[in-house]
Amino acid sequence: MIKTVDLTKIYRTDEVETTALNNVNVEIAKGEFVAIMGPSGCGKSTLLNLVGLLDNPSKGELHFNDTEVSKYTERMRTNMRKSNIGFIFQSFNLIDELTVYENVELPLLYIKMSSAERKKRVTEVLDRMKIAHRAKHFPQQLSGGQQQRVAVARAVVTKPKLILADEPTGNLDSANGEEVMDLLTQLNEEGTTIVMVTHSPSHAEYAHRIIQLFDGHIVTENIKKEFHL
Amino acid sequence: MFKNFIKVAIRNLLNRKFYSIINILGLSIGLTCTILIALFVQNELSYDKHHKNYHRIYRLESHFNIQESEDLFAATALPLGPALKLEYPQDVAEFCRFMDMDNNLFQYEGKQIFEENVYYADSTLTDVFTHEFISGSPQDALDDPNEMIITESFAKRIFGDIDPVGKTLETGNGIIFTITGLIKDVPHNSHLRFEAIASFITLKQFFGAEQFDSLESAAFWNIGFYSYIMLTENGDIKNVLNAYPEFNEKYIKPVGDMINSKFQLMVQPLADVHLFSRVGYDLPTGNIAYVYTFGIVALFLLLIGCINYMNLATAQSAGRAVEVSIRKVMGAQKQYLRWQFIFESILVATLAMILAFVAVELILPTFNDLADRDLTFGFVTNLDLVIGIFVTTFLVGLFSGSYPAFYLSSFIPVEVLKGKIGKNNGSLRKILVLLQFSISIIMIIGTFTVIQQLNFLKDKDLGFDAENLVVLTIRDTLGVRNLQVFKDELNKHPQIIKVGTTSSVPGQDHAIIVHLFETNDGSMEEKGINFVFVDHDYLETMNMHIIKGRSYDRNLQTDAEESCLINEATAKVLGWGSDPIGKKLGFGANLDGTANLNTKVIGVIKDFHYASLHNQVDPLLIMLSNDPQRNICLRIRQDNVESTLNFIEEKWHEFCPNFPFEYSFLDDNLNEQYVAEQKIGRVFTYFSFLCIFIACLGLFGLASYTAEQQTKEISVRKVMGASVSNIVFILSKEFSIWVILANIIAWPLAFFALKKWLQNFAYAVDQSLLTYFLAGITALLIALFTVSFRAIKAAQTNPAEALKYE
Repeated sequence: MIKTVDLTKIYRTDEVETTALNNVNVEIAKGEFVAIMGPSGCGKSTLLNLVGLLDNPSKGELHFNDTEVSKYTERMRTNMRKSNIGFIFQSFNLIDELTVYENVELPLLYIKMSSAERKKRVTEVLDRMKIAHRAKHFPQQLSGGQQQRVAVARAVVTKPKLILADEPTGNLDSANGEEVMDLLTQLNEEGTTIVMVTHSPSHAEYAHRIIQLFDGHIVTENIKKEFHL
Repeated sequence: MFKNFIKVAIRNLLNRKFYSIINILGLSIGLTCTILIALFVQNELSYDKHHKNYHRIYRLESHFNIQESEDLFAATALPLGPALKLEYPQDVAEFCRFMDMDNNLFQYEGKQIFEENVYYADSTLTDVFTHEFISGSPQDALDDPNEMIITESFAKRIFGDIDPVGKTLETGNGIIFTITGLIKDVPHNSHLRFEAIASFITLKQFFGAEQFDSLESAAFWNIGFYSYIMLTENGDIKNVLNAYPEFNEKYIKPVGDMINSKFQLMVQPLADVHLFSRVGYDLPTGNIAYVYTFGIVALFLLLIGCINYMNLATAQSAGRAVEVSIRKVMGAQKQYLRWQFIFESILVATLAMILAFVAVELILPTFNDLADRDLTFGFVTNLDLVIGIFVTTFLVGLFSGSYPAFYLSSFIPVEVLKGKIGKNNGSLRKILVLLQFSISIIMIIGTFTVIQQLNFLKDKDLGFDAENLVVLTIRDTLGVRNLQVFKDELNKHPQIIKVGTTSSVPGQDHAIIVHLFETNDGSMEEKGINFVFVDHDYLETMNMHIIKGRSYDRNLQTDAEESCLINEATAKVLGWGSDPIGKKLGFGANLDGTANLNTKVIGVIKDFHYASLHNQVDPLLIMLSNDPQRNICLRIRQDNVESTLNFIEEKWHEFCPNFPFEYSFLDDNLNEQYVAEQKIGRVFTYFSFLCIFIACLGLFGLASYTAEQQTKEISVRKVMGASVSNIVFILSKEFSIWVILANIIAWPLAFFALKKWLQNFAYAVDQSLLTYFLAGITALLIALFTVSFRAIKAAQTNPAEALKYE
C-alpha cells in the first residue's frame, strides 16, 4: 500500500540544516499494523507526516497504492488524504468550538456526504466508540480517554484505508491507553492499515511489525506477528 | 457546510467575547457614521431630482467681462429666457423666470404674516417644474396678473384649514392677489424653495409693457432674475451654446461694444445647481467638496474598524491555528478555510450593521441638528440606501476577513500540530496600527485647523467694528418715507450711540454697475465696480476709517452729486496709486458715454470686508445718497441691551406699523457667512473623536492580547525585580513608536488637504508646525493612556499566578 524509496526530509533554517529522514526505504502492505519507534527527534513523526501526505519530502519517492505522490500539490494531497487516510494525534487535536458529534462529522463534510448519510455514519461510529452519550458535549467537558475515543471516531468515520496514529496513547493513563490500543487492533482486524508512532514498547507489541528509527535511518525492523494478506 | 460555518463562527464570537465586542463596536460605529453620511450625501445628490423633467432643465447664468474684471452671477436678464426660446425652438421648449418679491407682508381678514420666500414666476412654472396641486388648476394658475399659488403650510398659517383657492391676499404695499392654486410644500431638497409664487405678468404693470417685453440689447445688461429653460424632448444644450455667438451678436453685443464689455451665457443643469454652483447673487447652495470630504471621512471610519478586525483576528491566530490544521488534515482545502474566515468576518459585520441601524435611529435627530438637515431613514422608503448598506456591510466583511483568511489558511498543519506555531511578529499589525493612527492624526490636525480658521475669521479685523451693531431692514414704504424722523427718534435714546443707513450692510450682496473712471492720461474708461449708498452717519456708525482726504460733509450740499468715496482697492485697481483724491469718476455709465453723476474722489476709506473672508476686498464706491436707505445700522452701548432693543421695537411699531419688528446683530449676520465651515468644523470634531475612539478600541484589544501573550515574560521580569512602570514602559514602547511614526504619513497628507481647503478663503490662517505637533502628541497621549490602562493591569498581576499556569 505504501512504499518509500530513499525518502529524505531536510529542514533548513538560515543557519542550520537538519536531516530528519535520511534515505528511508520502507514498504507497508495493505492491512498491516506497523509501529514506528525510536528516541525523540529520530524522525518518527516526520515519516508519519510524509506518509500521511501532510508534508512533501525533500528527496525520494513515496508511493501510495502504487501511485507516486511525492510531487503532489497541496490540493492533490488534500484530496488524496481526505478519502484515504485517518489521523489520530497524541494531543487529540479536537476542535474546541465543535461538539463531539460535530468533531466526528467534520471529515464527512469535506467529502461532501449527504446530511442523512453523515448522521447515520456519525451515530454508528459514536456508538461503536461508546461515546454516543457525550455527542453534544464539547471536548473540554470530556476526560482524556474520552477525547481520544472521539479522535479515533473522527479518524475512522470516513472508513479510511489507512490510519496514522502519532503516539495515540501518549497523553493517556494505562487503562485508557489499553482501550485505545484495543480499538486500533479491532480496526486493523477489520482490514484497515495502521501505522502508529509510539514510545511505549508494550503498545508496540500490538503491531505486526516494529520499525526502529535512529537519526533519520531505519535501524531495525522486527516482525512481531505473522501477517497475511 | 454552511451550518458548520455559522456554528463555529457564533461559538468563536461567544468564546472570545472581549475581542468580539471590540470588533463589533468598532465596525458598528464606522457603519453608523457611514449610514448617516450616506443619508446626508444621498440628500445632497437628490436636490431638484423630484422634478419630472429635471434632466432637461438648465439654469441660465451670467458671465460678465467688464474690462479686466470677471463676474459670475446666478441672476440673469429679463429677456434672456424668452429670447432663447424664440431663437431656438427646436431645442428650447420653455423658460421660466423667478424674481424675489420685495414686500413680503401678507394680510387676510386682519391677520398678518411675514414670509421671505415669495417669488414672482412665469405661468410656465407648472410646465417646467413639478409641483403637486392640491387645489386649483395647474394649467392656468399663473396666467393672469395678481394671481398666486401658495404652499400647504403657508396656506395653513394665513387661512387656517379652509380651502384658500379663490380667496385674496393683500401685500403690505396694497397689491391684491387671488389664490389660484394650493400646492404641496416644496420639498426641502430644492435649491429654490418658496412658500408662494405670484404671477410674473403682475410685474408688467410696474415695469411698463415696453420694458417688460423688450428684446432690446440694453435689456440684456440688466440682471435680477433667476431664469430656467427646459429643453425639448430631442433638444441638446450644446446646440444652444454652439449657436450662442450669433445670439450674442444679435441681442447682446450692440450694448456690450458700447461699454467695452462682454456677456457670456452659462448654463447649469438643474440637478447640479445645489452642489456645483459657485456664482454670485445665488440662493443658498451646498458644496460638492463637503460631500467628498464626508465620503472620505466615512471611508476612514470604516477602514479603521476593518483594521481592528484584521489586527485582532491575526493577533489571535494562535488560538485558531490548531483548528485550521485539523481541518486541513481532515481534508479542508485552503479555499474552504478562507471562506470560513471570511464568513466569520461577514457575520461580525452583519451584527455591527444591525447595531448600526439601531444607533442611526437614535442618533439621527442629533445628526440632523448638526448637519442642519431633515433626514429620515426608512427601510421601505429608502430601499436603495438599505441595499447599499447591505452591500457595504458585505464588502466590509469581505475586506476585514480577507487578510485573516489568507493568513490563517496558510498555516502548515505539520508545524502547528508539532506545537511550532510560527511566531507571528505582527509587522503587518503594526503597519495597520500605523495606518489607523495616521488617519486619526489627519482628522485631529483637520479639526484643529478648521477651529483655528474659524477663530481667525471671527477675530479678523474687518476694517470696521461689527460688535454692538443692530441692523434693521425697512420694508414698509411708510417707514422709508419717515426714515429721518425715525432716525432722530432713535438717536434720542442714551444707549444708542449712532444711527446710519445704507443700501447694503456688510455681508449682503452689493450691486455692481459700469462706471467711468479717469485714466492716467486724463481720458475716461468704463469699469464695473461695486457700490453702496450711505448717509452722512453711516461711516461713523460703522467705525470705518478715512485714510486719505475727507468724509462726506453735511454742510456741503454738493457732496451727494459731485463727490465720491472709494476704498483702497479701488485706487489700486484703477491705477490711481497713492494720490486718488480729485480723480474724476462718472457714476453709472450711460450708453452715450456720459455718466449719471460726474463726481470726484474726495476720500479713501481703509479697505473693509463687505463680503465674506472667502474673497479679497474688491473695489467699492461708497456713495452718499440723500434718498432714504432701507438698512438701518445702530451702534448701541454694550450694557442694557434688552431695554435698548425694547425702545427700538417701540419706535419701530410707531414708524412701521404694518411690519413685524425684526432685528439682527451684524456680527451674527457675518458669522452666518461661515455656517458651512462651522458645520464642517463640528462634524470634523465629532468624527475625529470617533476615529481615534475606534482606533484606541483596536489598540486596547491589541494591547490586551499582547499582555496576555506576554504574561510569562511579565511575570519573570517582575520576579527579577521589574517595577510596574518598567512593565508598562515595555508594553507601551512598541505601540508608541508606531503612533509616532504615523505622523510621518499623516502630516504631509493633512498639509496638502488643508492647504486646498484653506485656498477657499482669501484670508486664511497659516498652517503652523505647532498644530501638527499638538495633534501628534494628542494621538500619542491617547494611545499611551489606552495601552497603559491595560499594561498597568497586566503589570499588577501576581507573578506567581502566571508562572503557576505556565
